[in-house]
Amino acid sequence: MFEQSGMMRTNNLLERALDVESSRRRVISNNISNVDVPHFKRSEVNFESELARVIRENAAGNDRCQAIMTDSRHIPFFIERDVTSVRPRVNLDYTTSYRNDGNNVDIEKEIVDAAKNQMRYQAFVTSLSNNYRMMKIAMRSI
Amino acid sequence: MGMFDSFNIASSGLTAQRLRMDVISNNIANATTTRTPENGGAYRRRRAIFAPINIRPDYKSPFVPERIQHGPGQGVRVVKIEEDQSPLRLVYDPSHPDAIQIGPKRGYVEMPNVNVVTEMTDLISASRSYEANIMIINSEKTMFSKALELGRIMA
Repeated sequence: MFEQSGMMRTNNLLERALDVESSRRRVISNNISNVDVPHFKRSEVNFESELARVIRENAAGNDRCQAIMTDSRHIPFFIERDVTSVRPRVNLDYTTSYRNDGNNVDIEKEIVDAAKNQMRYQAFVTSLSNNYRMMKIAMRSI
Repeated sequence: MGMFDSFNIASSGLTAQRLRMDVISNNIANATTTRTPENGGAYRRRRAIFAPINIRPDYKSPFVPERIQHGPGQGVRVVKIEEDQSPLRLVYDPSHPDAIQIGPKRGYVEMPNVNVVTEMTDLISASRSYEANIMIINSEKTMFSKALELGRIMA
């Protein structure tokens, strides 16, 4: 009923960010457990840069130049994408090699990434629960 | 300047100090190695050279004062691991299989220029730097959780 209101869109984005953080945690713990395996390449989850790009492209508006399409099969320059359609993607970082045995896991970077991930998760959960608490306060005073 | 910049900088410091510790432990382990596969001579002490990570462009604009262009930086990285070119130690031991057979230094063995005491003090310094970086990460975590309590709504 009010899925398109500002508060519900924010909550939807926060919930999807929580999903991204938990999948990122799984990928980071996989990297950490494979720190001694030869020829293992680390993976990472890509979501925020994609989301920023979609928001920036949607906001460009009248600055774009439109492609002249004379046929319905021509591809336009900019396709308007919905913010809710951005999905996280797990990328394999196979181009770098950190040690002589072909392994490219940097254990300090993974541990610090896990700490950052936990703090971001905590921030999202706090923000989401504050939103629901605000709704409860608004409902209670009626 | 992002939210987690000090984390990334501290983690680059941790990686650099760990690599430095690896180099030091390699020096200590090879302190009496007289034969190396690369050039056949004695082992030469190795050193890790650090440099700051700076992804800003190298040009300087004449219109912008110097103070504005410098920021907090992006951390540290190891540029290269170079061999120390100071002279090797000579120890007189004619019965050693690697003793020099001809010339004025006949009977001397070239030993590595590794001073174990220097390496141990470097090791202590590297491990203290590692701990200092960990302290930065811990204090940043505390600051972040305190910031989260700012917006807490009591209901």
